[in-house]
Amino acid sequence: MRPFTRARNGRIELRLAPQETDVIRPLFSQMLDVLGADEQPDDLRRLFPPAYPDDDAAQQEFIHFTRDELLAAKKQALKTADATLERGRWKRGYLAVALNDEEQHAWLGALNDLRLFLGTRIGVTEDMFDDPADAEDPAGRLYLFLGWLQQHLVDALLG
Amino acid sequence: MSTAPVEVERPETGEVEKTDRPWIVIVWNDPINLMSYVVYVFQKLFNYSRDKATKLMLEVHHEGKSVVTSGSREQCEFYTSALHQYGLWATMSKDL
Repeated sequence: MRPFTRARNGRIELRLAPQETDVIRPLFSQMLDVLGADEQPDDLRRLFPPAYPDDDAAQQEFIHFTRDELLAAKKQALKTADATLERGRWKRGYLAVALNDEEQHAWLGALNDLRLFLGTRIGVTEDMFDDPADAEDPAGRLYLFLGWLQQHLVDALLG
Repeated sequence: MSTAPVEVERPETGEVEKTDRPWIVIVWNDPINLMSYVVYVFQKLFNYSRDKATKLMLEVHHEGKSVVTSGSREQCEFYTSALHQYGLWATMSKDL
């Protein structure tokens, strides 16, 4: 069962098994906590890359004008994605929800931010999980699960 | 004291655009973002065709980086910030 499919009316339908929603919802909430913390962990660095890596003054100015909005957008995406699961209906053992444009975008952003955070934390390299069996620890398995979800969402959006 | 305005030759529009695009936005390779996701972002944000978006993504993947757009400083800050919202590793610099 694919987690994201494009319906005939153009909407994207999300379908998750109960054990999948049980995994994803705490991740959304933990990510919100991490983003809301006073001191953000270094593993968040890929979510906030420098625009001007070689110009400190310009970079400080860029942060001043963009950081709050960027942070707010990331938090909102997590909340919007999570809220879609609240209104899902159970269909043949899967939680099914039709996503509008804003919600598709929110899911895409939320999944990507989670992968950036988790991938940075576990030090992902390009060929690290070429064999999925290499993901023995829970963090590696979560990372692959998120990648699997995101891949299907992108396929549905591009398809 | 002001003198009568001098007749000046106005530059061609095309040339203005060229000299008015001194900044570039660079996307860097990273091991996390999915290739198809990067293609999707390039299409969505820049309205690039699937072919062009794929070409740029492959350049990022194989060469480590790619210049994805150019323009005024304000335009480049807008796109850099938008790419950060998508989670891509984008920087900007003055075109040399």
